[in-house]
Amino acid sequence: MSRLSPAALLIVGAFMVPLFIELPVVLSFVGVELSMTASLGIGVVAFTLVLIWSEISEKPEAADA
Amino acid sequence: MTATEAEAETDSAVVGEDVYADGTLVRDPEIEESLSQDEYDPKGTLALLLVYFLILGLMWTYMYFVEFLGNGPTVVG
Amino acid sequence: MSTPGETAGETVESAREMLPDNSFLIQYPHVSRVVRSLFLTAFVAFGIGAFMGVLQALHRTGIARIVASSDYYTLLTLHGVLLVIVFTIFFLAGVFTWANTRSLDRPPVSKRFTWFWVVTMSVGSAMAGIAILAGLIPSIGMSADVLFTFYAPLQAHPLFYIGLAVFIIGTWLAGIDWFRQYLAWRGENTGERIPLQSFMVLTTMLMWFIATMGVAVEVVVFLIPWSLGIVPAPNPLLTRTLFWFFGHPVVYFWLMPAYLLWYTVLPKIAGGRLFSDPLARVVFVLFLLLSTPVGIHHQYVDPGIAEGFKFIAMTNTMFLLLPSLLTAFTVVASIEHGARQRGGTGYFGWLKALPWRDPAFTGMTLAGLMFAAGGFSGMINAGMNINYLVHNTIWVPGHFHLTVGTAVALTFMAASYWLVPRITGRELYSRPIGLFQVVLWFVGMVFMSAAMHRGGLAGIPRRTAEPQYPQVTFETVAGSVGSLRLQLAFGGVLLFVSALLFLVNVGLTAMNNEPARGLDSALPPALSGPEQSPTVLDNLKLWALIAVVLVILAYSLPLYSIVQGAGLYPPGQEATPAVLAPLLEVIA
Repeated sequence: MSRLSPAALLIVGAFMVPLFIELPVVLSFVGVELSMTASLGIGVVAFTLVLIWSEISEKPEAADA
Repeated sequence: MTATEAEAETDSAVVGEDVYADGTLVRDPEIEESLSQDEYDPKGTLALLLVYFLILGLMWTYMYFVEFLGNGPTVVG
Repeated sequence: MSTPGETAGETVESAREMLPDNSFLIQYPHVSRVVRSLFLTAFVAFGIGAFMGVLQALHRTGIARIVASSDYYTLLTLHGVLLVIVFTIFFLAGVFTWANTRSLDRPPVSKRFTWFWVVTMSVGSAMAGIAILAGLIPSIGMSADVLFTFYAPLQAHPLFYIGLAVFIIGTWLAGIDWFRQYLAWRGENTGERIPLQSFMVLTTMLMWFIATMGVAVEVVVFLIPWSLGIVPAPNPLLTRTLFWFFGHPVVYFWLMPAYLLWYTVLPKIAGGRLFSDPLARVVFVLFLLLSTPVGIHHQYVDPGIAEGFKFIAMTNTMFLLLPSLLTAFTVVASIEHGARQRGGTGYFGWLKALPWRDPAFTGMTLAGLMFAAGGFSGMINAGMNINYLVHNTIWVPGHFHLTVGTAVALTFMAASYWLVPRITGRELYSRPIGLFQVVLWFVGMVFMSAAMHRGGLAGIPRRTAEPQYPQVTFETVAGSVGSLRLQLAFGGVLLFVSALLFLVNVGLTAMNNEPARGLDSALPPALSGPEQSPTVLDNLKLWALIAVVLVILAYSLPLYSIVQGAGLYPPGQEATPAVLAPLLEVIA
């Protein structure tokens, strides 16, 4: 049983997009250079981690969010 | 409906399942429990709005860098 | 879509019999038909307008230039006029017709009159649309490449202005129709509070009557006679000021139907109840009062308007944040009420108890979230000093794609998933596609709008077919201009795909023979009902009067000084482009 339903994954993914689009701008204010490609790459990795966390779950009773 | 609701007045028995505990109109059958105005404290709304104001405040701070430090003189008038 | 009964045959008739007696379609089959025909026009305009949008996104970023750059303004005018005049206003006319009928529990007074304004609005839109489209075919000798902000000295063919005038008259007639419906209700319900949805429709229309005075004078007194060659070119500053007299309140004309849906439909979908009916009324009264006397904030860089008048407009604008922040509280509190009734707990945990699977809920919520971001960039626009930083840059389109392009348009799309089954009696074709579509719109808009805002801060201009200059380097805060362009175009493509998915889903719903389910529940009453508010809130005459006084205070002196300064028809004005010479030769 996965922790998140496909719909919940979609929503979580959607909310991550603005975070990783704005990340390079926010970092630039503290002097850290991060390219947009790298930021979106980190975003993809983060979403993959959420996906893995959601799909590999020990407890069978874990329900959808 | 649930037992807790049944003991609050006899609404559900008399008028039907779609009536709120305070006797007003219809609700969706999927709703588990009904919250009246007195029982409801929108603390989650407060939390969300505080987050929003925090973001607004931070962005206004960034405005200082964007407007006054990021650009040359602005011509006014 | 507009006449389903004849085409779809017996299956639909039997499907309709399965609908509950208290569903809107069974109670008001004729009103449902009116709403369907309004929505059809809205969605056709949406499809064409969205296509123009993606063409521009690819064109100005230099990724694919399918049309000549000299036709860019034709595309831009089509995009603007079809989306913010035709799509939004036809859709909101449908929503208002539905809401007024539903909340007053009676149909409009005269079927003939209702169809009369529907036809008037449609004819006006068609005239304006034809005039713009003709610009793509030079041999016709007609064009209207004047953008949505159609003031002098850019000149369009008379057909465009006459079409606009006819369209505006159609909206006035629609407003009169809704007021007649209300007065008929009032005759039988003396002393009762105006039902909330009807109250929202009426205050919005009062605002619209006041706001459209400016554009009516601009178009009828100046632009039509000028385009016909009867009078010389009018004072550009005067036509600009009259346009923005209408041009700012029109954004609330788009927004208030979205608010109506957020206040009345969204709490129901979330499984809760509106937190406060009086607060909702206060918000709509504030919009009626404050929407119009702010238009000069679009003219902060116009020479010829004194700084003092601009400052007054800025102050009024900042007051307009109040009803929007009230809305943020009331709507979120209403949604939270739904979450808690569904068993949600905690400070943030209740968010998990919301019906995120429902495209209508998710779409409207994401639209509201985008509006919160748009509110921030709006505050930047509204500040006189900071405005100079972003004025006429692509920041501004970035801002209004968050507000009208998402807060309004995404709410309308999401509401369609809820409303279209109610006016067609047909089950939504696909909820998963609907959910994917609204999320895709959100994601696409995040990409496009963020790139636009950032490009604007770097100084990239708006309304430009080829904003690439060898002698100028735009300096961005983070990343390169090239990556911003890619980001903008990518977002635009996602938005276009989302628009297509929406249209296909709604189109298949209109042809779906499965009867709609779950139509029988009325909108739940507010937690704090209208009886807890003073009756003066329902005194529409009083609020309309105060609104007029505020408009006179804000506009009489600026308009007087503009006319005193350069006159109505200052010498030396040239129309751009000069389109009428060939036409006049034919007539002669």
